[in-house]
Amino acid sequence: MENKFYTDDFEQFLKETADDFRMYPSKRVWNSLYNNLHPGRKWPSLAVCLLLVSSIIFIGLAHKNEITGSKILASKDKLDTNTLIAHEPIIKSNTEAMTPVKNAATDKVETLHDIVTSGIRSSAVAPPSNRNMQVLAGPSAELIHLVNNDITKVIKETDAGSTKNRTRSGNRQSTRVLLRVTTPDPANSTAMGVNNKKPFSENSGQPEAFLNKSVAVIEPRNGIKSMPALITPLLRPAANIPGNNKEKEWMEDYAFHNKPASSLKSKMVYQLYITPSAGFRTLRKNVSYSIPARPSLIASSPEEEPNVLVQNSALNLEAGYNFIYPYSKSIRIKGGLQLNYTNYRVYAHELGHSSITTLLLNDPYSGGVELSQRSSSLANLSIKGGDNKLNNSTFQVSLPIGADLKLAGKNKLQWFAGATVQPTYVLFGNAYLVSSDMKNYVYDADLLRKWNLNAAVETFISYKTKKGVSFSAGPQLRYQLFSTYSKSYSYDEKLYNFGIKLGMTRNF
Amino acid sequence: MTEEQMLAGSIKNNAAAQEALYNRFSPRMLGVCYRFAKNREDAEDMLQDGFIKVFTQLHQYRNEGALEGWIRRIVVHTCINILKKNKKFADSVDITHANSIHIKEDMIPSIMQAKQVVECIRLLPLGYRTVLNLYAIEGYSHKEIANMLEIEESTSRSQYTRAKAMLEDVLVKKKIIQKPRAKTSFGAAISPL
Repeated sequence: MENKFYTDDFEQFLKETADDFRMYPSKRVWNSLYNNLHPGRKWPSLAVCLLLVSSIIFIGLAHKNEITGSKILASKDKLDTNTLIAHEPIIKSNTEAMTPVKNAATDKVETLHDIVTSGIRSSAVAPPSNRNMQVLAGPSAELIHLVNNDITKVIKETDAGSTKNRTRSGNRQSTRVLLRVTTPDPANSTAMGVNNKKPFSENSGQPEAFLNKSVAVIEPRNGIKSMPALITPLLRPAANIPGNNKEKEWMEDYAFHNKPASSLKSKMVYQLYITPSAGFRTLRKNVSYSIPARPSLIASSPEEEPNVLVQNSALNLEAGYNFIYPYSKSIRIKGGLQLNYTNYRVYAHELGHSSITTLLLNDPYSGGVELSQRSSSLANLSIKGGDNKLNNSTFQVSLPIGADLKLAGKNKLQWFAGATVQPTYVLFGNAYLVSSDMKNYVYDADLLRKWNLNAAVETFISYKTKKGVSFSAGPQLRYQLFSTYSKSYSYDEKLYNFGIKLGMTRNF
Repeated sequence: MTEEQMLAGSIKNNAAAQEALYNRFSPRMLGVCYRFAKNREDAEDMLQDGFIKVFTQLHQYRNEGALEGWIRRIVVHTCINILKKNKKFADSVDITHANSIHIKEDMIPSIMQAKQVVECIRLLPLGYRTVLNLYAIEGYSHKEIANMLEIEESTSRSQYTRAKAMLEDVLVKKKIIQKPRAKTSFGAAISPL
């Protein structure tokens, strides 16, 4: 550009100069553009959000059918946990060895033990001497039930052409034994107890009178799965037969070492909470992005003149829910969703007219300072009691993830300390920004940062009622880790608030 | 990748070709948007909207004239449409009280010359700089500007004259250009320092 320029060529000069000017857009522009042009492909931020939300939902619903996962299809009515052990490793059976088809075809009554011991060569579950179970076999869907107790019936299903199948396939047959565990009517239900000393009655011959409780499937090809779950309740009554103490000891020992694991869902709890708090802010010059401007551009900084900006705290509110998983006796992991309303007030005087002022903005790409011209009718009085209180507020949605540590307490009354990090998305808000000379406030919500990160620490007392519901209360500090405004604004504002968190926790 | 390849690929919605086209023209187009916008973020939003239109209408390009000129026209029209959605724009473009607007010297940034000129343009009131951008830099006639901005042609002329005078004065003060021999009457609009 020539310094000796003649203004008659002013338009030409402007055109050439302006045409030379280039700026390099941020990656965000291309990403947004790409999303618009190729909407089918999602960007990582969206995927991460979905992953977080779906994982929280998954944790709540996972292992719901843990029992059925081990081939036991439990009915809605719960079985006595002592009678159903679902976590035994699968016992592989030899298909060739399991050959009760002949018996089924001839309707011959055979003991379950015979089936089991012949089908499973390494039967570590059924005591060899147990003769308390009998099988009623039929050609198609045969009823097997135990002789010595009335609490269980076993249905053996055989394919109609099983004999043919066996003949054709030789080594393989498609016999399928369906075990249906039933409990007696309430009058006899005490027979299910482990420590029940009452001898079992002899076969009543009326298994249909019992309520079905659970069904298990024995598939010869895959082996008998979860046999302990079946055999244990079946065999337990036998322990009560006099002279069978060895078996009783074995079964008690088995039951002791194979306690059912409680499901994730039964361990997890959910918490609803609300936190009224007082909101504050810190404001600092954003030195990391701005080139030192000429002194006249900035009247002063808040660090130099802390009283130049006057603000007051205001009511903030937080509400949300958490899923809490007890990782150990003293540590609980939690994650959830919450909404936040943040707010503080600045004092301003409403002028009768608009005046031109400027906002000092950073240009991190060119490294320069941008003076953005604005109009404003709000003057900064630098004292409390201005006639116009401006609310700088935001509405946020967060995904808090964190943990609680139990510091003290036992059953009913417990004391916890907790911390969370909270990826946050600012839905909308108000932004009254101080002008470069700090004499005016300018409204520009476009400078609000959309994504932010918050952290919260808390301590609380939890009291558990007789109904199993826990109520908690305690102080909380929440701090915003990144500035409220985008990098282009030359000041960093960090919000923080103190509040009392009130929560209610209960099981699913 | 040649311009023809970029063009053909972009029409077929090929992401690599679209990105290449974007990378080639976006710096200059962002400079255009920046002259119209109030800040960089707005300029990037304008650029994004402009390029969405470019890619969706690219099949209409008939190889008549340079591709850059075609893209530039779309981007400029996008900027104007976005500005027109702003309620304050209608007031700014009809502004007649230029004498009450003062640009202090310390508002003028002294960074680098090309950017300095652009920043000086951006110091002008919104209506002034829009007309100045369209007439002096983008080459639209006052009649076209009047149609685009939905104002009178005479308003466009007067806006430009005032904007030019104000900008000249700023540039003279920054010693980017020499003082004109005969100062226009609108030079008085700029406050003495």
